[in-house]
Amino acid sequence: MFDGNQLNSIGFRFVMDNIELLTPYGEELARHPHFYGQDEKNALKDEQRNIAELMDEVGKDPDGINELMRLLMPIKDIRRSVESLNLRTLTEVELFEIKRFLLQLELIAPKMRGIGEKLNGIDIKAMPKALDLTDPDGTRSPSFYVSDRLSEKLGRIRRERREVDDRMKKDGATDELMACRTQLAAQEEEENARVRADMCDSLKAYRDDMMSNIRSIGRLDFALGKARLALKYNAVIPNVGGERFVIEDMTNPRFSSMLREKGRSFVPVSLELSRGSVVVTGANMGGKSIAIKTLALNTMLAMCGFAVFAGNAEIPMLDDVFILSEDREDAMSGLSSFGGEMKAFDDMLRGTEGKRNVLVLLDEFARGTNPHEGAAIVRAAATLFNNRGSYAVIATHFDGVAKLAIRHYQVAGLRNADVGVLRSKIGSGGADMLAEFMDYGLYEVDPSEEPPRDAVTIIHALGVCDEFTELIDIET
Amino acid sequence: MIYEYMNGIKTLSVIGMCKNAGKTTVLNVLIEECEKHDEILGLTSIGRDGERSDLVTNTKKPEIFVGRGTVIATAEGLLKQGDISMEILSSTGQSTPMGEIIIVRAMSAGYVQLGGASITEHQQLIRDELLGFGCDRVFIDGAISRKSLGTPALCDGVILSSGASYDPNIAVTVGDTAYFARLFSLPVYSGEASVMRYTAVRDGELTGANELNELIPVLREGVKVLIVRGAVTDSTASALRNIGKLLKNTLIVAEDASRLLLKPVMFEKLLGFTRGVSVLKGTRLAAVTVNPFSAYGTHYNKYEFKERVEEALRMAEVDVPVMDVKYV
Repeated sequence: MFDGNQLNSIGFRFVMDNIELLTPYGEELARHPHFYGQDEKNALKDEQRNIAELMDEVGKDPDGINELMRLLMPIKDIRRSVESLNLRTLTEVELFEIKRFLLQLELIAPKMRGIGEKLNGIDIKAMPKALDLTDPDGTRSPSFYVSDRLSEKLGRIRRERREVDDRMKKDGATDELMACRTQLAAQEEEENARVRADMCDSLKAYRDDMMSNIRSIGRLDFALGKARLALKYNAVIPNVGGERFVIEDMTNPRFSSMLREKGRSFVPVSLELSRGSVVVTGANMGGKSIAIKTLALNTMLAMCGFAVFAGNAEIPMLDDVFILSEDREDAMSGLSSFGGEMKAFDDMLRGTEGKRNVLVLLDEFARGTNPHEGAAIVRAAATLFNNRGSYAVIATHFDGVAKLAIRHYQVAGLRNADVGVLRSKIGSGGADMLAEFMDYGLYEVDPSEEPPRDAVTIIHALGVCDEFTELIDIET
Repeated sequence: MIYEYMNGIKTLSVIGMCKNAGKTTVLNVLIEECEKHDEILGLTSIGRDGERSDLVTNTKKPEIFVGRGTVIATAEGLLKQGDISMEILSSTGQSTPMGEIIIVRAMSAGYVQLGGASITEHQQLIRDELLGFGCDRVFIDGAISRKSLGTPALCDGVILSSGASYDPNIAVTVGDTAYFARLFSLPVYSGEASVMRYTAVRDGELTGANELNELIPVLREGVKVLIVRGAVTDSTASALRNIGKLLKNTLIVAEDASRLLLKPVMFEKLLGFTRGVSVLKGTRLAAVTVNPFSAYGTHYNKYEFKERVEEALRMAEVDVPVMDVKYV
């Protein structure tokens, strides 16, 4: 699974930051999205159906959804109070929060009629009997007061207290009246606490129902957030749990937004995986890393019950997803970047031994060592995943890896660019100029195709200083 | 007696120049007076106050005593320290070290502990919520700080509480009291300003800049008004003084009195090399209260203190009543 740094780098965090949630319960689910494992196919399908229903509903009845969202917004986190019902007497503020929650349920429950029946695991029910306990006068007002109705004694103390207050107002605060007032205040507090203890005792019976409503609200909020996100980005619900692993026309909102700021746009990528190693080769700066990260993002999203940013997607159930890229943090381990990479690879291999349903993404694996041994290491990795029959995608520059690939993809890069024109514009625009000539498309090619040689052309296009580039030309 | 000065003030902040200035006494009298006039009051504070015993100096402090019907915004953790019977009206979602700020209605008379928000925007929301619960008037227990004068953005009237606890030297206390009173009484400039740090106004034409230097060409031609957004500190004043020759006929305008964080001597200098100082948003200073009792033992003579403050205010041309806290 990914660490925080990796979740950020593949754009997962970006998506989580863009999902709009209305309740603390939904927010909590989004903080640690659940990864639906191999044996949770049905649960994942349920979640997908919920999102599809809600997407549909947003289209059919936008006003109704807006109204539902408005009603979810005031929901606060009352779990601590609800859980404490078994342990102690709640304060007036805590009972106020519970009453507000129960009042809100009265408003939300009717809005769930119709749509609620179509949603799995989301059942929001009004709890009028529990509400009556917190609102014995039946006013349904949004405030909380320990009513006189609940205790004759409380009513009597309060009447006496009121008389003393009135006398103090008229005659001034004599010591005798102050003493009397203090005593009555203490008596009232005592009786108030007793009444609240009774109330909490009766509320205990509704504790499980309240918690179940809370879970439903969280699930609804999260699913609605996912549905609205999917509509905003034109995302599709992937077909999960089959044998095929193919995602067409993938995008990545984080990179799209970064490119948009530069006036460029994201070129969608399509990949089909088979069991074994898929190898991606291609020009430097051609978008191999981006393609790998975009695949990582969309696979993770699919496994967490989200719609994916793609035109079409079929993804098998997976136990886990791993990525090894330069974003890994080794600073703490004291290992060199090569050492850290091998250690992480080892951890991953041991952790997934015997598991076929994992996806491993290697971005420029073994880049830190010499090309001769590096190529051998990556070839070994490719063979290993072929043997294991798990899903692997390996982006590399090294020679001789692609021929081991089950499938070979190549970034077109500068292959179709007019290098003459490109060279004539050398140094005029650096990376931005290069982007104009670069074809970021990913194409399936024969495993016998070797990685393209355009590093030198790219150095020229970047306008690196002549003293250096002239020497390169002599060398090559 | 103090009630008569409350006319037209919907939100009042009582600001103490130091701890034990008698702020709470003033609030209690105000509360009592307003209740006699059947007003529904809203109460809150900036930061924590109303404590039984002052945490810093450990002197016994009077607490705030409210009547039935008063609406109070305070931190949840301070609710149980009071003894009113209460109806919970709202949980504001704004948190303080003492818990979330809760709005309650007093269903009996009794003591309350006030603790409020420390961010101006939050204070404004709470004030608005209190007014929304039908309060005729909102009192804010003001911040205690030598540097800041609370937030005129929040209220339309201020009572300044001064006391012997401010400084053992009566001359210092009197001087600073008059200075703060004077800041609250600055004239209001009613003209447009840009959103920039500095706005020069010349023949009705605005030129905005975030750096003073950028404005020098305009200032050279002579401007009637220079508006300064944000804090006006001693270093701001020094920067202005460096180009003092250009500002001889210029009125300096701050956003409001709380933005003038100047030592009195720097304020005097600023007045000396400019045409004067005004504010964009004024606050009505309703009264100054004085407390001759010091928490540190260096009490003042009560007649002398009151008379000297009155005299200093007269000299500063600030026309507000001065009252001893015992007789407000």
